[in-house]
Amino acid sequence: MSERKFKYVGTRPIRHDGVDKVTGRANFGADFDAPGMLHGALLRSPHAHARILSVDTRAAEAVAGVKAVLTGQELPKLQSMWMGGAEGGIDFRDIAENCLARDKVLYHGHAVAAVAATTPEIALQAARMIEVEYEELTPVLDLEAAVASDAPILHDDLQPIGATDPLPEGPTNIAGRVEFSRGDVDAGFAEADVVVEREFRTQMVHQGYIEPHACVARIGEDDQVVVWCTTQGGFAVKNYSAMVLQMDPAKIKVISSEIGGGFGGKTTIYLEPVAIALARKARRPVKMVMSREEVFRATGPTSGTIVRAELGAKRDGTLVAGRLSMFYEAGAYRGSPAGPGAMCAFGSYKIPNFYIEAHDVVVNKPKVAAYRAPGAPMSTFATESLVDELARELGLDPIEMRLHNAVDEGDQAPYGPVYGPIGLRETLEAARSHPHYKAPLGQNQGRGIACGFWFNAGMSSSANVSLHADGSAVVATGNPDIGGSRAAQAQMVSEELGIPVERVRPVVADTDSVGYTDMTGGSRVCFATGMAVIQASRDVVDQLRARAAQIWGVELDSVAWEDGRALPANGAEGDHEPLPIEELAQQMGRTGGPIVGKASLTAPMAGPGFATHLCDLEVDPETGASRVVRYTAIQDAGKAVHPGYVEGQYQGGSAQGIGWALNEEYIFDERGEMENPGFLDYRMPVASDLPMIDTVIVEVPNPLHPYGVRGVGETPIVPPLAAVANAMRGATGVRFTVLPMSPPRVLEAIDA
Amino acid sequence: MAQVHFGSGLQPHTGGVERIDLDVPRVREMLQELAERYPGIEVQLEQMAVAVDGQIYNDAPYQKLAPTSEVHFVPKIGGG
Amino acid sequence: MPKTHVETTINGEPQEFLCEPSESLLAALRDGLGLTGTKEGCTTGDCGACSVMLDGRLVPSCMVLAPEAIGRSIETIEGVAQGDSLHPLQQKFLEHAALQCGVCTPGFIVAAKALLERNPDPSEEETRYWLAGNLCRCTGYDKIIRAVLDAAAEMREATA
Ligand code: FES
Ligand code: FES
Repeated sequence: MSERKFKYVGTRPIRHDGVDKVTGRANFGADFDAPGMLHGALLRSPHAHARILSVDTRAAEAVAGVKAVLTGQELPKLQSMWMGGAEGGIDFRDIAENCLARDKVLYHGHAVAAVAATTPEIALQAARMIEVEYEELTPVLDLEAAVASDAPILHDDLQPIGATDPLPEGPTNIAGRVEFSRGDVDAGFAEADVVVEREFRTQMVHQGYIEPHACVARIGEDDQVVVWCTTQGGFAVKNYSAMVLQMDPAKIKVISSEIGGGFGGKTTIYLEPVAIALARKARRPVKMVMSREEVFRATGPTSGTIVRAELGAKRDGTLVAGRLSMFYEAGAYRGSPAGPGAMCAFGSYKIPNFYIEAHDVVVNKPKVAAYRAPGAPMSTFATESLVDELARELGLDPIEMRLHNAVDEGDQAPYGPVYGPIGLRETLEAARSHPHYKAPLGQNQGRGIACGFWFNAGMSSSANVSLHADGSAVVATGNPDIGGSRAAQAQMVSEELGIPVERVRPVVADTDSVGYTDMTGGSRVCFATGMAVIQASRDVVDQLRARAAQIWGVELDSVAWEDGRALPANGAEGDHEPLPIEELAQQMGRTGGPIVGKASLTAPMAGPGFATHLCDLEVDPETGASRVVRYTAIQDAGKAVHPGYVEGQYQGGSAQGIGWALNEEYIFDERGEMENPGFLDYRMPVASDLPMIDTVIVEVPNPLHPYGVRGVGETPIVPPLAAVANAMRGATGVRFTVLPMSPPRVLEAIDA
Repeated sequence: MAQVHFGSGLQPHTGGVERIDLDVPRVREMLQELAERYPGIEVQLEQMAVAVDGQIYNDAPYQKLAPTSEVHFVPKIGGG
Repeated sequence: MPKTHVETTINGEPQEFLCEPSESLLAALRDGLGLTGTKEGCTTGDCGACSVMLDGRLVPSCMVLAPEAIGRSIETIEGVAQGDSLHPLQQKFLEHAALQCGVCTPGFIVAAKALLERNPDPSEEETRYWLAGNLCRCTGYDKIIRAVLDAAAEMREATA
């Protein structure tokens, strides 16, 4: 496989959707209108925790221009049914009640009722006239308060899931617990020459996609629903909306728009069932678009965490024992990424004795959604900070320390199975020999290094490749293109058919036009959907060979396919002139009809992708402000299909991680209201905050993929929290265990 | 026989057993066998993915198990 | 309240429309005129997705009232390419893979064009500070900055 010579894979063609995106023609979620359309608006809860006693919609209904009003009570009442998995698991009852609260509001900003009206302004004004009577309850605003024995309870019927030993008695806010262990932890720590122990804390942070959630729902005369929306998965919108509304999913078609970023935050639904229900009531299409403030208050974010961590090593740097006790905020409903956080925490190292437990805890804050490598950045922040501390205490080079303990093929992952071929060691070696690692540091500067990894979800994908009469091709899949996946898919078709990338048109198909496809997420598109694209292309090639065999009057195995042409083979060489794809395509009609290749598959989870990041940070001791002055992200891509977009994933994930480390956090007041629901106060990195982000693509082929591809989208956000904190340690001498390391915190710590 | 491993999180349901060897052709039969041996464990296993020889499957009852197969249970993973 | 009648010039063409006196220029462009290339990321002037040129000055259109456009000249992303030929910035954004999701791209291109009009040879630092009003969550800015500097170099060469 590694021997294969590629012609198109590994090149940097211009993406097919690019011109529309640089000229403003591309249609994103809010760019679509339907004729006769109404506008929807939501009334949101002013309390973080309250019982809904009554909802009076009469005043809103009386407003001129209002065509429909909807409350949570009008949506079907669902039974709780927990489905472990996907993004930490889902319960459709929770999804429904997060779309519109039913009996209780569970966070400030929780949607309570909706209005459809002729203009957005009327809708909003009418929504505010809906009278809701609440019985206020004490909000549970942090992890310690949530697990306290006398904590107010969010859900009376919450049944903890997972290995819970001992089981909590009675009602609880601990929704679940996972644990992993190996060896004898106490004996391991007894053996250690050095042990470091710290408690780490992170706050909720938002995915921060620039495009707010938006959708338009239309009901046809035959009750067929069409939804246009911005999402990471059209099929998820279709199936989830059908569950929430208790409809037949076959009645819903979802057309996904261009998507202005998701990072996991657009893997669930908020507006769509509400828009459908309003459209059904009003018998007119309904458009709903969130404001930025709504996006912050009621979508995303990822969990705030507490991680108590302990790590022990021998004098030579060999790790011998580790212990982690972790708590992840789920927000209003169960389902934090505590599980994957636990799986990844020690994923980079051979540790013979460890114990990891992770709790999923509900609090009166927005329900978390997936965010790039969900759960892994926080647990990795803890372990990579401790590895750094150990290296310091032992006087070891941090890269050598990591190389000494790094996992290799054949080592057992902390969550059980044995790793296949992986590239952690290669990324560490690339870091060691990178000029960045040897460059001198200036005054008030420090250098940090950290590793990290994430799985690649496999899951289900479908692809169709159809041939035009001119020999060009169309490839249709069901994955919205967030970061250049169309180009990568076209490259794979080109590689198989032997035609230029410009001759392949990649399209994102709606849910009626392509087979079921799981979401764009989990670093799975290039891997799993890519595999379907390759198989569908090979199906086309087989059909083309059969047509050539028919024309030449030979057996199929006398036809080879090379560089976009059928060639006589197997002893028939020289008997016939090669038949180029253009000619075969032109003859499709008379050689058996149009040629369409198809493939559908469920891929297993792909080999993990490891990364090593290097960060140089400069701290101003007067103000506590810090600045990343140099950054290098090194990661195993298996095989980079379009290196430009692979680098882009490394750079973008690094920037998000840097923001998380230095500035980003949800700040709540004592009533549970988010105090910074805008870009001014929720400060994401801007261009002047960052340096160029250097990248190194390491390629250790993934044996599960025909080209060796690994997903690359998520791993880049895993190392930065610790890489930045380790650099801060170098620059200031202070070990920061609380994020973000914002200027006031840094100033306070260095003055102390 | 396929070697089936139970992490510490599952051991409360297996009476502390860490590993058993089962002669079963596929994941489905393995799950049936485990439900018989350890009543109640099926509720836990439903929430989990199955790792067979290092490859993780979220939902693959018909995945074949070789006599040398190593099986682990892990939380299901999606991603962002 | 009666609607306001706005006569203005958009991308070189005379335009007229009616709007609420309190309507933003962003809303008027997108909802009234169907010019959806200008994006909305925040409506508070903090993301730059809605950047347009108003009489040659770079502004976030969400912070401008539509009636302020009366008698003035607006340039949006839709006016950046000349017919079928892309502006060098657009071309360089494509070549450098400087967009991932692409929702920030129109704002960046309008803002970068404004920069190059007043400073044809900006340094990396000047470029970063000029574009600090435009948020991109996908790219980490690296490729955007490279695309802008490369476009600047090409445009200098073309006029040299
Ligand atoms: S929408 Fe105008 S600056 Fe964000
Ligand atoms: S490319 Fe997505 S926000 Fe910039």
